[in-house]
Amino acid sequence: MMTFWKLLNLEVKRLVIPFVIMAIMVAAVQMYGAHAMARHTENEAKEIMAREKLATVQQLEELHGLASYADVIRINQSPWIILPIGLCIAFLLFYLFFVWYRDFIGKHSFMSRLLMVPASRHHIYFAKLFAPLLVIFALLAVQLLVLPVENRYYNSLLPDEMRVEYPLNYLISAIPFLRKLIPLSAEQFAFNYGMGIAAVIVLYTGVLLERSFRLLGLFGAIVYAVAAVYIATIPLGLGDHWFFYEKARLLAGIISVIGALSLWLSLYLLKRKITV
Amino acid sequence: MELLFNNRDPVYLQVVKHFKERIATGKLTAGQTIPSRRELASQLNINPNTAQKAYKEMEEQGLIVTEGNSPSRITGDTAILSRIRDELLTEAIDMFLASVRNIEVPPEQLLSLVQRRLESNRSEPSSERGGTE
Amino acid sequence: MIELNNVKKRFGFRTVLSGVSFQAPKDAITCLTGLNGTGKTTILKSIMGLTPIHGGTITIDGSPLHHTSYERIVFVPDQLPMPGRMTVEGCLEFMSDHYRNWNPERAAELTQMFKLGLQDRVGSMSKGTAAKLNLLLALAMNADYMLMDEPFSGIDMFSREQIASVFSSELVEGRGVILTTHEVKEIEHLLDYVVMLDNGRITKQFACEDIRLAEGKSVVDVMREVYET
Repeated sequence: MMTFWKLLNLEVKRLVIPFVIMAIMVAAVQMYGAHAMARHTENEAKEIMAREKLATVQQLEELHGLASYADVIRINQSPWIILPIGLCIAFLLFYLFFVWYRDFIGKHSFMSRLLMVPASRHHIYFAKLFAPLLVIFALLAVQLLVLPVENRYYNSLLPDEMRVEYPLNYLISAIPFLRKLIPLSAEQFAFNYGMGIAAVIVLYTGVLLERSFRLLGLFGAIVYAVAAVYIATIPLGLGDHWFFYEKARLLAGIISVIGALSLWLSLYLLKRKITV
Repeated sequence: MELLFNNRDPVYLQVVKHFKERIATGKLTAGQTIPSRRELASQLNINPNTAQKAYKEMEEQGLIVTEGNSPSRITGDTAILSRIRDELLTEAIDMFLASVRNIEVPPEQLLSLVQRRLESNRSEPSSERGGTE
Repeated sequence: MIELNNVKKRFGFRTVLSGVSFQAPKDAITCLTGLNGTGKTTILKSIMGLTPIHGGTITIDGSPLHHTSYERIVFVPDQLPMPGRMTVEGCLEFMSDHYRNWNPERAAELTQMFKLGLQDRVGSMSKGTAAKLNLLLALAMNADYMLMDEPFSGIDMFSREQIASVFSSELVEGRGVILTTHEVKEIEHLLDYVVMLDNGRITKQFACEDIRLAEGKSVVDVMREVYET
C-alpha cells in the first residue's frame, strides 16, 4: 500500500505545474469575462434608459427586469467560461495518453524502473489512473469556488440598485455544458463520472494493448474501443416500450461490466505482456 | 603491484606465478602478510573470484597459510620456499630446451653459448642492474 | 543461479530467441556477447520480466521471477531509466522509497566517488555521468544478482575505466553478474563465463579460465574462430 501512495505522490507531483496553470487560467479568464459582462450590462442599461427616457433603474427593472450574472452568462453562453474549461479538457485528454507514453518514449524511459519496483504492478496502474482524476476533481472544486467570486465581482462593478444575487446552482444551470460537468444531483454526478472513469479505463486498456503488441496491439485497441462504445450505446437505441429508468440502469450495468473487464485486462497486460 | 595479463593463460595461474617470482627474488619473505583477496583484486584489476581462486591454489600448494580470520601470510616452511626457485628455473629451462630442440645443437656447444651470452649480458647492463639484489 | 531453459521469444512474426539455455552462477561474472541485434538485451529483459517470453523457463535460484525478486536481482539498462526532470537526489530518494535493500551509506559513498552533484538533473547530464548514476542505483542495492546491458558503450575512456574498476572491487563480490557487451577485448580478464550468441541462438559457451588452461586460447581467439566459420 505504501508503494501505491508513493507512486501516486510521484504522479501527482508531475501534474502540479499543469494543474496550477490550468487553475490560474480558468480563474483569470472567467474573472476577465465577469468584468466584460458587467461592462456590457451597464452599457446596455444606459442605452435602454436613454432610448426609452427612463429616469431610474427601478423603472428599468419594472419594464425589462435586471440582468443578473446568471442571466448574462446564459444569454451569451459565455465563451469566457466555456473556453478555458474546454482547454482544460483538451489538455487532460491528451494527458491521459501522455501519462503512459512519457514513461515509455525518449532517451530515459522510466517505465522499466517502474515495472521493477518490488511490489505489485497494480500500484503503477492505479497511480496513473488516480492522479489525473484527482486533478479533474480539484479543477471542479476550483470552478465551484471561482463561480461565486465571479458573481460577486460582477455585482461589485454595477451600481448598487442593479445588483441581483442568485445562488450557485442558478449559475451552474445557466450553461448546459457546465451542468453536465457539475451535475446537481448526486445520482447524476455518480453516473457521469462513473461513465467518465470507465471511458478512461477503456482508453488505458487501448494504450496497454498497443504497448504490449505494438502495431498489432494498436489495431486491437481500436477494435476494442469501438466495440466498447458500440456495446455501451445499445440501451440508447432501445424502443419506447422501455422506461427511461430501465434504460439508465441497463446502461449503468453495461458500463460497469465493460469497466471491470477492461480493468482486469489492463492489469493482466501490465503484469504479463508489457514490453519496454 | 602492476601485472600485465596475457589473455591466453589462466589469470589465476598468472597471479600464482607472479607470487612465486616475488618469493623467489626475495621481494616476499617467509611469514610476511599479503594483501587480502579484495585488495589484490583491485590492485591487479581482476575480478574478486579470480583472486579467491588464486589464493585457494596457493593454499593448496602450501605457498600461503591462513589461520582463522587473520590475514594470509607467506608460509614459514623454508623447504617449500626454496623449492619455488628450483621450480621456476626448471620451468624456464624446460621452455628454453623445448625451443632449441629443433635446432639439434650438441649439449656442450649449447652450454658454452649460454655461458658466453650470460657473460656479455652481465658486463653490459651492469650499471642498471647494480642495486637490485 | 539464474537459469534459462530453452527460452523462445518473438517480436511479431520475427523470432529473436530460438531456444536459449544457459546458467549464470552467483559469485561469477557471466558475459553475453555477440554482434548487435543478436538478442543480448532481449535476454536480460526477459530475465527481468520486462518483456514476455513465448517458450521455455527462466528461474532465479530455482523459482520464477516474482515482484519480490526485484530486491534480489537488479537491472542496469544501457540508458539511465529516470525522468529527465528528476535530480540525482530525487533518483536516490525514489530508490530508497521503494527498495528495502537500499544501502544509503554505500549510495553516499558512490555519489562521492563518482563526483555526482545531488542537484544535477538527469536530462542535462553527460553520457558518462548518466552511466555512473545508472550503475550507482544498482550498486547501492544489496542484491544477489546484477544484470548490466552494455555498461561500456558510448562513454568516454575515463568513465569506462571507473566503471571497469567496479568489477574488480568488493562491490561485485559475492554477487552474480551478467553483462552484455560486443567489445570483450578490454575486459576479458575480468570475466568468468562467456556465452556467445548469434541470431538468437547460443553458438558457444565456456568458462574463460578452462579454455585458457585447456586450449591456451583467449576469449577473443575463440570469438574470432566462431565468427569466422
